[in-house]
Amino acid sequence: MTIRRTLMSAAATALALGAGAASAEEIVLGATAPLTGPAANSGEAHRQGMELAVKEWNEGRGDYVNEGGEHPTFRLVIEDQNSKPEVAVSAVQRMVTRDGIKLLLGDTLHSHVTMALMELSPQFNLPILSIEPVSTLIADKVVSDPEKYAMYWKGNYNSEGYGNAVDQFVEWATGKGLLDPGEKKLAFVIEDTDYGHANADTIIDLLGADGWTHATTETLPAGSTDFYPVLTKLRAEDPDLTVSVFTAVNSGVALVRQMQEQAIPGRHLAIYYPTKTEFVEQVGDAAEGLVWASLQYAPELSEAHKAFDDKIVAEYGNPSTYSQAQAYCITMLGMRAIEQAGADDPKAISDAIGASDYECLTGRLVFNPENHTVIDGEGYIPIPVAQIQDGHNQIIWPESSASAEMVQ
Amino acid sequence: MRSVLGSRPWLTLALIALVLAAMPFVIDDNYLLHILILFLIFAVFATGWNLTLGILGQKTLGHHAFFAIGAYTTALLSGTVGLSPWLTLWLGVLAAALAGGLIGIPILRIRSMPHVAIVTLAFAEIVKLLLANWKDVTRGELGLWGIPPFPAIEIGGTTIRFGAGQIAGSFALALLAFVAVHALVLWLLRGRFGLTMVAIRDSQLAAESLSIDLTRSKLAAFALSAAIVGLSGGLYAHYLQILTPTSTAGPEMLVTLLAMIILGGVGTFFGPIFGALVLTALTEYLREYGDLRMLIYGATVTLFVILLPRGVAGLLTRRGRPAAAGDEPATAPET
Amino acid sequence: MTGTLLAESLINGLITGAIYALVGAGVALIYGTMRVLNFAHGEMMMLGAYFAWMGVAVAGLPVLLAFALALIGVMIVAAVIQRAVVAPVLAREDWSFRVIAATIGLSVALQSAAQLIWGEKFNALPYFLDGVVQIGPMRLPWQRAAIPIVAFVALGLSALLLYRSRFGQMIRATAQDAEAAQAVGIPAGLVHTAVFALSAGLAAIAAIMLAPIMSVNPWMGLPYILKAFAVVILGGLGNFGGAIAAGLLLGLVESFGVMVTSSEWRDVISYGLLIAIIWVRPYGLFGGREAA
Repeated sequence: MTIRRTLMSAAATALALGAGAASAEEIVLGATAPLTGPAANSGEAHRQGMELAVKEWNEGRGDYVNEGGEHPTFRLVIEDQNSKPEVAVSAVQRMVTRDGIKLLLGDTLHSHVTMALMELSPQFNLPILSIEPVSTLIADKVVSDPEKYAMYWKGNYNSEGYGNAVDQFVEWATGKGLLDPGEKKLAFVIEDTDYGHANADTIIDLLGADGWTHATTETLPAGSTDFYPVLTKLRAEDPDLTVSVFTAVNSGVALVRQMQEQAIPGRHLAIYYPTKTEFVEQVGDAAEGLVWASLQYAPELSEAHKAFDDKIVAEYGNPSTYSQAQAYCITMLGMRAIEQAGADDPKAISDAIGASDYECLTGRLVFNPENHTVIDGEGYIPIPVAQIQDGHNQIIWPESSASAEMVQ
Repeated sequence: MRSVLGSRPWLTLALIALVLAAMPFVIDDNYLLHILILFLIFAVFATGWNLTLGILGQKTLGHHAFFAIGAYTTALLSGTVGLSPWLTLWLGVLAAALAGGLIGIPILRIRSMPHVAIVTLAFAEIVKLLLANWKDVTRGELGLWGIPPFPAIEIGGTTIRFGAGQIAGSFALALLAFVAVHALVLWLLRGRFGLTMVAIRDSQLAAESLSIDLTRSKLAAFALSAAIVGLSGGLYAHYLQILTPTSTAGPEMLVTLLAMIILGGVGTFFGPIFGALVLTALTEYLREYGDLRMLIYGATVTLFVILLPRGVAGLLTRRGRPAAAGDEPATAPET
Repeated sequence: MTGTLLAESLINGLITGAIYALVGAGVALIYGTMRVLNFAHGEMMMLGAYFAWMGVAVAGLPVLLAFALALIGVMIVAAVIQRAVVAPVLAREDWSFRVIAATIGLSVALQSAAQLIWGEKFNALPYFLDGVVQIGPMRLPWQRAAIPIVAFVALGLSALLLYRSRFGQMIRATAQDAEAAQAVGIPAGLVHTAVFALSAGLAAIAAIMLAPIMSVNPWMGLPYILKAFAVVILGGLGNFGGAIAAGLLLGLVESFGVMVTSSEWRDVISYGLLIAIIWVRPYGLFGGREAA
């Protein structure tokens, strides 16, 4: 029967494909990242950060816990998830079965993918450490069932992190007379993702307590670039402060340009997209004076960041962003945990991650034992507010670490 | 009908089922079995869609909407409302069938293929956007998680468990659905229903003159097709336990499934099964190629259309005898 | 709604509508001549934008020269696609559906090829027109004001070509009956190729005008293709003038729709309208039964 033969040979081919086995001494780390599709920009940055961390570690230049001792050797397997949770789930099934991964760095970018991957942790007895996802819902999920998600750890702070910073910054700036609150009317232009909504909701709550009224929230699909209808609507509302949240840099570039053209009244505070290196370069003059959160990674201001940026440029030929740094730090943190706990006991690896206190490029990484999320704020991960002045980013808040005065 | 079913379809189906049933005993690799589960689910989807696409001859491009409707209905009713997944799976099927009937009414009035294609595509886009915007209930693009797996059942002292990590039980269930759906479709096609469908496909006028109640037959076929696709959506939801609007009702689902049917052979009974198998395996194989994956995928579809218009099934049947005239619907411009 | 708001919404709608008209008219032209729905039409936009970006930002050519080269480049690619992919499929049975499948595959392949060649970075084309027109309280940058102007010049020239030239006569004759046209000495195959190239050129113009505003990336054609199909159906399949009118109408509906509801419902409104109209007038707003 031809059909049966086809089936058998397909199965045989599939079997043969999986034959590549890992060498015995290497400990395998797995990762899922968006390497294709519109988020590939970030996925590629994560790949660079993770690979650099593993390379340095294996070449004797890692941030070891025990400098003098023996260090395990790592191998990194990165699978594309195409920004889809079910692709990521399949990829992890594959990495667990084929590569025998001891720790999953996942997801590197998406909260919704992380939500799906968390479910795999108890099933495969696999410690999971996410890199850039921020959604508070992930932390809430951990709290809702601490037993089930005991081996999941969130390497980035919660969505409120930005909200808190924006709230405190606005209070500081109005107090100093640097920001005119007018009638305290607040508007949002956000991407239609959990990230956009979580940030807006937090800021509405916190600024609402300070007497700000919420005028409108305009929600657009991630990656949108035509803001004109929205801006027409926004101008009619006449807000005193407009907060925008986008992860795709093209949306941010388009929005900032179009807001300037349309002379939207009031202050504009941008969240996330100015972290991308191409932002200032593509927006040009329209970016002048823009206030944004959060400048956690600034090679032009910090020696350590500059040194890291040089390594990325030397290795990959492109400048680095926050994404490379965050991926590097979390990968390093994961390897440090395995260095301490050994590779054989998943529970021990998870515990070592939870007990981490690691000072890295993006701040001091310490996990909150309640929700398994790294702690933000003073003394941990600073979330500074920046302003673009003369085409360069300057930290303007908190005052203790400011590199320049805020310009009105 | 031979061109649709090939010779000895029951025997072939039984053999396929047998080979698949042996897989868990032959393969000791959960990952491969996981891929086979996805193949089984997508084969059900492809066969359901192929009913309208190939056998009824209605070139609809929106069946991924029924997949999403089936998946989200059962996920919400079991996860949020708390009904048993064994029940809600069928409510999802019912919802998909109703949606199929609803969208079928305007579509079946139209004979122009491009109109049908675009309207169904727009329908799927609307379903996707509604799921994405109805955040309070579906959580939008963040994804609906916390979907319960099918509750474990006990047969002869052995407990069979289902859900993402439970490969053996999930495989058995997917295989059961696969065999049941294909047996049902085969039984229907071998009967009066099948003759009606092919008569409609090959010539609307002739079918009318044979006093076939066109609209009713077409609507019934459309609803059945949507129901089968909805069933595959339900199985998918309770197996992977996570849904997002884009991954269920997004354009990539359309491309993937269309590719499976085209590759296997539009309008043949076994074609879509082959297509699903080949493309599921190919997708996994292409992971090795990273960035090149989608390029190869897209190019494969285009090349197959140009070089092998009848798909794999066409290649297999052609050898024995030349296809009889009129096997393929001559869809010349219908102006 | 105040007067300014109304006027601004009108302008927003006209600008979006002009883009829809450019892309939709090309799809209509291809359908009208060879009954082919080209699902890779959005990628013609994407290629147009990339070619222009290469010319301006990478090679540093003068803006107009870069655009002319980009336009020619896209038309050549389209001609090759028509010859290599579309024409062979047209010779087959059940081609009207197969060609949809073939162009869907092509669309996926072109997107990922673009990602492989130009990377996943979002590239920006600099504004090539500076300044803002101030009409009363309204502000309109020249870069945007130029969109409807360029669109109508391009569409007007295309209409002249279609209805007032010998070449246009050949296209229309081929559209009515390719075999009969061939019999009287019209090279129907070449006409098909030329129509494909012309349509892709219209899409490239839309993309080049949009590129400075919306950035160049491999997926930029995606949001427009389904809109273009909606425009073509609303305008009466294959009806060039109908597609232009429907494009403008859809742009206006979306603009006012966003004003009344919220941006996340924009596409639901357009596609809902499409299905509603098909229900009432199955063969479009402007076409008679014949246009389908």
